[in-house]
Amino acid sequence: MNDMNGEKANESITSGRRNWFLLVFSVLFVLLFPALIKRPYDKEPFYRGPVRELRKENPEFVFLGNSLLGTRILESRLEHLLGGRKVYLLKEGGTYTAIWYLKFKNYLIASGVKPKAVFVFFRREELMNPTMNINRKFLASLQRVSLDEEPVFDRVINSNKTLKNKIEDATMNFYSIRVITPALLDLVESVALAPIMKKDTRFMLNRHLGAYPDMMTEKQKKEHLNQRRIFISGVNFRFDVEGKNLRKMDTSNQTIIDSEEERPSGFTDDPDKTFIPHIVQLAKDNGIQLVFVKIQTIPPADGKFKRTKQEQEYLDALQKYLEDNGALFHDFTGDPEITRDMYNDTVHIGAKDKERYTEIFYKRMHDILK
Amino acid sequence: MIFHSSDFLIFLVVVLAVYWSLGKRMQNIFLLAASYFFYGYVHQWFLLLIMASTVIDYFCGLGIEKYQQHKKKILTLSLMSNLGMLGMFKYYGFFADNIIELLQRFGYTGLTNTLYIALPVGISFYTFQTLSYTIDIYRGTLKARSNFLEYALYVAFFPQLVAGPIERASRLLPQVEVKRVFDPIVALSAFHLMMWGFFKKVVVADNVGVLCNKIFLLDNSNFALVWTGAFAFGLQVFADFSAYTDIARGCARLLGFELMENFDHPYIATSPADYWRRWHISLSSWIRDYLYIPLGGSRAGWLRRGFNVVFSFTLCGFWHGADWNYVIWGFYHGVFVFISQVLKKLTPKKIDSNMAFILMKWFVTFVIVHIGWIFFREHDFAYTVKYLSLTPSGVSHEDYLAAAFIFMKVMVYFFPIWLHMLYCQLRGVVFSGSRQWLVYPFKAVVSLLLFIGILTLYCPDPLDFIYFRF
Repeated sequence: MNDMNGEKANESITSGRRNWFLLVFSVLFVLLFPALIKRPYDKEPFYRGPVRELRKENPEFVFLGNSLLGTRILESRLEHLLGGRKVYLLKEGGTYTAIWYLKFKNYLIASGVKPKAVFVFFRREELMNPTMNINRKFLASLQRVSLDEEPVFDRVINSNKTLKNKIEDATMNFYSIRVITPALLDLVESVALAPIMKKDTRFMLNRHLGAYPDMMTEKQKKEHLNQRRIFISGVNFRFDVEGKNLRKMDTSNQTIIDSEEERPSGFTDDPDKTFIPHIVQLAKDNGIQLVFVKIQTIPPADGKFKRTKQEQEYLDALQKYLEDNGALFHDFTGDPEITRDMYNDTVHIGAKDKERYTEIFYKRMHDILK
Repeated sequence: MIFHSSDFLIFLVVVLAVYWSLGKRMQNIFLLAASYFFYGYVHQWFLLLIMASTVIDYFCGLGIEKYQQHKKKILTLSLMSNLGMLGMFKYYGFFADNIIELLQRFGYTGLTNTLYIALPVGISFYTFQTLSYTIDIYRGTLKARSNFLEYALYVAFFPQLVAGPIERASRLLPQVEVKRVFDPIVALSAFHLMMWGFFKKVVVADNVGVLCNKIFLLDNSNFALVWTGAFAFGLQVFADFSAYTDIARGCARLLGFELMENFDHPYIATSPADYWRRWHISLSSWIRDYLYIPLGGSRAGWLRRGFNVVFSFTLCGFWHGADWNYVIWGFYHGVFVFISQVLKKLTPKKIDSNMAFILMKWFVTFVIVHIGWIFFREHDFAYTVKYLSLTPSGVSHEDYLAAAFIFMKVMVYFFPIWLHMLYCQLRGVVFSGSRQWLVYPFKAVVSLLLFIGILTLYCPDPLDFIYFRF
């Protein structure tokens, strides 16, 4: 009897050990195996297009910003109001100061063009948060506007990283397999395109299986990729906030688009903490007039804008800093002509009122634009 | 705290490490503290509500058992306090706005609702959980618990606190009361389940959600895009909610608890009634046991039965959110569930088991459910009417192509879930008998692929779990 009990106990110990082994082995296999797949990191090449365009256009006024700018300024209308003088918009939805700084430095300054003024459209405290939207979604944009070495950019970003950010970065670097993301996303799109661009199926299969070079001539490849890009950007534009297809959002709840990241963090002119001093300094060194335009969010139903003490202090400090350094500051908040009905959501102007907004902008900025 | 955040992963690792080093009583104390920390991580004042609900129902439970002659009054107190809190924090704005609008129609102008109350997350879930406790004691199917700590942990158990499954006291409390033993095999299954849950959330639901949100933001939408959107939303909400359940069940398993299944392949349902046996099972069974059956269930005549079904589903819809679209969605499902019950009764058994007929029923159910998602998704009734009145004519070639592209993208992201459905059907055959051991390497490889999927294809625009807002 004792022997039987002993045997059972031994069996149970053995199966217990086996189970522990299974658990530890499986967990380690799943979590560590991807780290062993090392993939080289390839930076997207710097995209020179805007440098060439800026040189060609030689604009008198340049605008820097994101969809706040894109939904407000109608280039053609402003050029008409300016009597044919050229305007150039360095805009990209969802971008913030990190990308603006790089565009300003690597496009405008690098082009050698000296516009009369550069307008920077912003909303609130995002100017003080350099790490906003530099994650995976904007990585390609970031790489396209970066040179191989960007010491200022690296310094500002690194000094703004919290311990949590650093741990996340280290974890992500540990798994270098994530560099295959663009290829995987490309594959997802290729499969999705299969029934639409029938040629694409064969093309895609060959491309992903490595038979790409033998299948098409360089010209055919280019043409095909171009068709594909046109189709996808057409679909994307159908849903773009700058287009005319979006419905008005329910604006009764102001917090819809107010993200945590944009909450007041206080003003600082520390060049390690924000890109603003670097943009200001570059403008100064190159004799460019900077104008920071604080946009008006949707007016409250009662028309009375409320601003916290902290927010007001931030804006006062920002204005003082800019003016002390030769830049200008204009706050559109409370502008009587920019009415509630012009908005598509809490911050973006509807496509049908973009022209009207451009005219108001022209009136308000007339002294600078004349 | 949300599951798909680094904060939660750190929290879970710390909780597991401390939890398994403690004895049973200390485990419960620690788990309760951890659950309150989890719940109050963003808004601490929400804790007051859950604590109030816990204290009230704890004493009501004891009171119902001790004072049998007053048990109805005590149950009423429990119902009123729980539903009162739910009403105040979830439905106040809805009723206030509707009453004001109604009064304005009768000429009483100048009235405005100036009180906006933030909805405490998970209130609908834990309220139903505490209600089931006192009702079960009232019915005599459950014994009131004298150990406050254990009861409080049943209410606040963090894995299922925010979005369920809505656990019954008779299932979860006994697990709280016994000593839990760490079982590596159970922990391994929890690990796989959580990996699957995270994949469904950050890769499938969020990527599909981005596409879906785009479509429903269009003003000048059309037939092709709207129905692609409805299809996408149906898949998104399933991936999203079942992901939450899987992560919750996985977490609970790591702590030695077993939570109920909340989904059973709802999109293979062959009737609306079948669908509700497979979708959000913990809620639909709650509604059945605490509302539909007490109303008379299916025992009464067809007319009364119809009323019971439609009424129960309408309330089920209202449970989801304080808005008319949820009420209509619930009503819509109630009507179709009742119709499906009637048709089932009228259909001869021979036809009912015919494969072609089953396929047709599946297709019709799929369409009914996805039309329902339009009511669920769209809060503006004018848009719902607009969407439902769209016809295929007049859709441009470009929009057909755009819809096809989005549809295909959704299908690609959803492909692993179709595969999982297939796996569930075949696993009994494939991993039976001497091949049983193969399940471990198979699951390890699948988890590895899921993890690589999470690392590489996670959506950079993470969305909240849809059921968080309920």
